[in-house]
Amino acid sequence: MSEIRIGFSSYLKDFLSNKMGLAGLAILIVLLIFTGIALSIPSNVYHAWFNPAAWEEYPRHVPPAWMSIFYPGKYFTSENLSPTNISIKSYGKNLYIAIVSYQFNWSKKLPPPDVYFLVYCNTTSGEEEIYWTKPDGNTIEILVPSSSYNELFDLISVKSGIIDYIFSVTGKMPSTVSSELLSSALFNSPKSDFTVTEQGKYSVKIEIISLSPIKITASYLLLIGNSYGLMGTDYFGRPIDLGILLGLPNALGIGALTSVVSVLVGVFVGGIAGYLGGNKDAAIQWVILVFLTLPTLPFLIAVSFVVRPSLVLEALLISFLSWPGYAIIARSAALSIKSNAFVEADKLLGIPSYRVFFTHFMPRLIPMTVAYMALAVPGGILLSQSLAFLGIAPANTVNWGEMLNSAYTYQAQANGYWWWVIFPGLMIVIVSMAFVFIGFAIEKVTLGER
Amino acid sequence: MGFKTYVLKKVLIYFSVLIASMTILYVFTFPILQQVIYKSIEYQVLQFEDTLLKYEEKYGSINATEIQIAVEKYKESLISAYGLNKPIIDKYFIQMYNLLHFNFGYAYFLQAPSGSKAVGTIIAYYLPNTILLFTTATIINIILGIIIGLLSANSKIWEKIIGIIAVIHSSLPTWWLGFILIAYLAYTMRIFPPGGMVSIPPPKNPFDYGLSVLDHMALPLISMLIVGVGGFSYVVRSLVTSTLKEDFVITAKARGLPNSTILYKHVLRAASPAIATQAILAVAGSFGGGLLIEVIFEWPGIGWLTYQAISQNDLPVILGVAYVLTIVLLIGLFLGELAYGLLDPRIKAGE
Repeated sequence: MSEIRIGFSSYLKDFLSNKMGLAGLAILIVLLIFTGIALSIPSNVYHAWFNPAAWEEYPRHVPPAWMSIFYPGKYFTSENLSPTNISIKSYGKNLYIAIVSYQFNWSKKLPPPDVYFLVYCNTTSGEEEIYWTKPDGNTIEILVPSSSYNELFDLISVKSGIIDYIFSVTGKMPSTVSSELLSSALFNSPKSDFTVTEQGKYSVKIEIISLSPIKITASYLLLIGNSYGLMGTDYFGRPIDLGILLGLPNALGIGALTSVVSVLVGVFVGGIAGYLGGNKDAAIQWVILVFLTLPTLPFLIAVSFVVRPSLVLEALLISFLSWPGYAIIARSAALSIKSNAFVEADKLLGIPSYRVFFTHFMPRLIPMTVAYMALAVPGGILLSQSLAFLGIAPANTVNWGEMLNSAYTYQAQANGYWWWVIFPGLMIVIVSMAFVFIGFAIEKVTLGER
Repeated sequence: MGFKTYVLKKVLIYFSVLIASMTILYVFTFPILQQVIYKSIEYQVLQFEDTLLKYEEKYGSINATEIQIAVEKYKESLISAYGLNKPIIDKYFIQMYNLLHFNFGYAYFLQAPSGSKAVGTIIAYYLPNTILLFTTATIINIILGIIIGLLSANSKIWEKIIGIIAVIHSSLPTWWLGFILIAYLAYTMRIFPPGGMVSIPPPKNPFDYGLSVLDHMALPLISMLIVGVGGFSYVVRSLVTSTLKEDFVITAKARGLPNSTILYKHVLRAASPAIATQAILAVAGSFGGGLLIEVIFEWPGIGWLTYQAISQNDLPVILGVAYVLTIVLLIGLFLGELAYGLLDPRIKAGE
């Protein structure tokens, strides 16, 4: 410890001149701003995260949108088209026909992975049909099954019409039907056996025939993209960037709570052990050893089957198991403090033992405590995310570990969904690193090491 | 106090620690433990009834009511054997006795390859694989850590490197690193196998079998070492630098000994007991969290078993794993203490 410059303000000055500490602090401030944003998101978004139906219109497992910079023409985002024209005509008293028409230019080298249609009208339609006209003038007629009337539907729902078209061109039935295959029939040229995309003007007409007067209340055509947002989407179409934002508050929360509780308890217990010494020290060391032998992860898993942990309970359980490490460090620090002459002097002056402990002894452990509080945060975060990876997380919270677990379940590593693996894990690393930087810097400033 | 008394004392301490930590685990998992025991009794009773019915089919010498009575009696004997009808103190002693004898009941769904559903047998099948992976990783980790820690004692470059790997150690989840390494090195580059312990079908020749295991072990080991080595070498470095400030080092320098002799003979010797203690702590720390690496690499060990048990809600296995790992960890710590006793000359000399 420096003899000349003592006190909080000098520590702060030293800390602010430490590059590592500043970098950590900068990252932490950015993270806290994002935490504020995440906390202002309404809770229904958090609930929607676990509801696959909410993400139906999003492209599934697609890479980030900025991939188009590296592969122009190969990656594109979703396009939501409004109808260019809606015409409603009546033929006699009991026959009404509405035509919703769309026109768009397709200049990409690939067809969209899927197409969504939406036509809401005030009556039940008698018949609904899609006329899909390609740039070469060919028109495909697709009959919409009655189950899809007044619903959002995609190509799979109208597959029979498209399969008939494929059969009429190639002369054979496709063995497996996917939305990609159906879309390629609509966008690729029949001459090339549906391998080359036709570029140019497409026109789509949706015809609704009804026996009563029709009024179209809402309609759009959604050409799903093959890339999305800053970080892509997962298997259900959930945007990874949203998940990362939603997971930030509880990652920081568990980390911070864990570190405060476990370091305070650890330093206090270790400090007492070092201060008292002798048999009492041996007894406390025995207790430390008992808690050290409890295997953290299996213990937390077993306990989570007794009570489903909330965020606070999970943090407390993690602290319950991780304080011994800090107690061991604090004890050895306390032993070296005890060898100082002032402890002896206090005793000779007749100051009560507990007062020496609280006014002279423990304050000397404060710098260490602060440093380890920062260094303990990553431990808590890593542990809680590991638990989330195993499927154990507080209810209704979004966790990066959980996102990584679903990436693992859906074989992201084998299927090449790199964005699904990289970004959530990178967030764990960045958050942990911020605290490690700060902790190392505090330790260097206060203890003059590193 | 000689080495023998030291060992005896440690044995006593560690046995009491075992009882205490098992008790903590028992208290925390009490509700599910009772549930597991009930189900386990039902399973055993069902099996007993089955054998009786088969016997009856074969010989026809006993009638249905007799079977019923026998089954009831058997069930009651099991209930009292597990202490379910006894006061809580007796229950505690009986169940702790069972736990210490690795009697964890029967798994709900999982089973060992031999077909046995006894949790003890299932864990006994998977545990050696975990120990193989973890002891290999720990030994390499300790060796690398000591080398890097000593190198950094008088080299600025290595000090920088230690700073970097120490940050990596405390901020990178091992299993995530493994995940990325699999995606890149196993699926994209196809250098390593993506998972498992041996290739399928397993090679007949024991030598090829060993090679195959090594091949599968490489990637988990690499990811465990990238993350793990930073922590331990950092600890070694700080122990070595603090030992370098001791008086005997100055004396050695004054005697004109070369730096390397001082470092490798005197400093390492003096710091080794503390290094041993830290190595123990490193093992303890890696054991809990490192289990996920098995899940990612589909390594058929305890971590992988736990993941299966969680996804199938197989409580007996989860409890069994928690209890067994407590014991394994304790044994590891105990071995570390023995190493400490051997390394510290004060203990041998009986000071």
